Amino acid sequence: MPDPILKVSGLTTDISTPYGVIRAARDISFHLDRGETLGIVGESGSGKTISVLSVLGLLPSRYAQITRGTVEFNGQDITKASKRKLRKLRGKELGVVFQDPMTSLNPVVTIGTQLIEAVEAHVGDMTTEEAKARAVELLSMVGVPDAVQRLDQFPHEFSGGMKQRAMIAMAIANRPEVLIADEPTTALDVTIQAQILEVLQVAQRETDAALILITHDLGVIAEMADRVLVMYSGRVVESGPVGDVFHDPKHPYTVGLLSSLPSLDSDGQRLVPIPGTPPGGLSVPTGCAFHPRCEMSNERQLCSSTLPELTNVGNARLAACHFSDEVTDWRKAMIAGDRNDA
Amino acid sequence: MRGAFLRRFLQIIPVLILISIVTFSVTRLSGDPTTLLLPLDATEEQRENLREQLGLNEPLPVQYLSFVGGVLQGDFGESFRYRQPALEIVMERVPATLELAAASLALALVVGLPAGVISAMRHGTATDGVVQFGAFIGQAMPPFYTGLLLLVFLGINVDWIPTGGREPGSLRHLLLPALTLAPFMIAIIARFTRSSVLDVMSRDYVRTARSKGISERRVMTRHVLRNALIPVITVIGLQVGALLGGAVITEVVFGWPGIGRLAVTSVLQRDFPVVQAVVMLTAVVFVFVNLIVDLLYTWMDPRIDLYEGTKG
Repeated sequence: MPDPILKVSGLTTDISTPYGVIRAARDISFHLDRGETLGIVGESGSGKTISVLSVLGLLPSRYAQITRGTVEFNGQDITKASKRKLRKLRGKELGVVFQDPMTSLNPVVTIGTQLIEAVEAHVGDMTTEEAKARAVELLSMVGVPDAVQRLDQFPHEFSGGMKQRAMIAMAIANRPEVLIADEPTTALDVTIQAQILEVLQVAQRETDAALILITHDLGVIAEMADRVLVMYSGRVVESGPVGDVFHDPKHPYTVGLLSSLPSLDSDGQRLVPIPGTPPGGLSVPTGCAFHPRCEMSNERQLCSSTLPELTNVGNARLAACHFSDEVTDWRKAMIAGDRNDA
Repeated sequence: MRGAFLRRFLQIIPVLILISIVTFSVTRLSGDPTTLLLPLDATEEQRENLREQLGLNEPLPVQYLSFVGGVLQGDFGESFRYRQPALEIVMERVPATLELAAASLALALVVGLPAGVISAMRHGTATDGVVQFGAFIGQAMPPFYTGLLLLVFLGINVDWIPTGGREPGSLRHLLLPALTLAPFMIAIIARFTRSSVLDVMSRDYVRTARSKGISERRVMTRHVLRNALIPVITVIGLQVGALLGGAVITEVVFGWPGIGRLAVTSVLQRDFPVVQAVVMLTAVVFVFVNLIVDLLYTWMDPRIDLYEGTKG
């Protein structure tokens, strides 16, 4: 098996706030194979965005820094790379699409200028015409009609969906090896979301990039991803191939996520929300961070005293639960009980 | 666009009418000019004659209308004191004020803008602290005090720096008045620029720009400054308006023959036509500078279309 294009090991990122230091990403490890799609799910504040910003070296350095761990891109640790070297990677090998296209484009600069800038940043000898032609090509590729005319327009003349297409065009301008999409559809209308995901797939196919797709929409993960990483309170709690994880989760939190997801073909089945709220970064529970909300824990002492390690649970799957071998039966019982209620 | 511009332009008219009413009323409230124009022992008859001559016996509405009627024809009346057209007296002083305004504005921009930008980029460092402290002092020092300090330390001790007066084209004479006016503006511009740049630096689109791997310099100029300087323009515009109205105290301290000092002496002498001319001209300049600022806005920010409101 070839080496992964991206390998994150033990990544830990701290954010300083006026109230204290928040450990936003804790001991994050994962890898990304060439060309694959990795989904990262978790509630707001679970550390998804911070993890990828750490990978990209885009953390606001004044408030946040990587305190431990390595990020290997093509076998080289880029957490220790110079700012200049990291800058050379960004936009060239690592493309990124941010969450909110409304605020992610410079309002006073034309779409064309912003796109051409992305093209030219990493190509030494390119005439203005060539860069412009490439920009038109990119815009057409992501499905922006009348690309030539639209280059001269400003972001406010683009709809939300069109803005996000333009963002994707910028991210793939230099055929990156890794494309990171941080909740690319969250800020968009539902009707536009599917289109944008399709554009992402096109972009990925055109560039052969590996894709990291961050979302809290499990449906999107099921649709797009090969493997999934479930995050809770700054940690990875479960990972594995999407089909396996969704069919037979090995962590109670993943079970909770799946149970709170409505689906069209299971009519009448009650949605089960996860009780409680995710912990804030300043007051993480002892032991397993999920234990106060976990309905499987039954107040067992081990859950509140000891942090569960991310361990192999078979078939390229990892889970961080002391009782991961109980999860399958517990879930079956819960679903059966639910049917009886109904 | 042209219709919008016209509408914006027409809005100036009620503003100017209001200012003319206020100016007219306030000058009349200041007292009887004849007590100052005639010797103390002048008879009541002589005073009455002079009032008659100056048109001060007419009912106030009639006086106001003849004032406005004159202004519309470019005639601000004759100075009570100098027996010359008031406008002429004011225009004679305009170059001095313009010169001082231009010099202090240039100084303020050259120092204030970079100070604000650097302070924001080094946010939280000692450099930032020094700039902020300097701005604090600059804004807290009243010009009459700054002016006196400069006079004492530079004007008196350094031979080639004159302590007052003006010679057209002489930079030496301009030095102290400009240095007196500049600190306050430098402080305002630096502080405003700093907070605006800081605000823009944390915007999502700046992160997007960094994600493309473009140089930090490009990020600052194209993405941060282009956006951050838009609100700073307003502050500069207001300062320019204030400067062109004459820096009254500075002009008095340094015997600078601009319209600020003219305003003061005319008020003291109850020279109504000159006071009215100074105030009206200043108002017109202020209003037009603001109009220009608005136009600059539409040029710098494509989202703003005058009177169509802000979009997206």
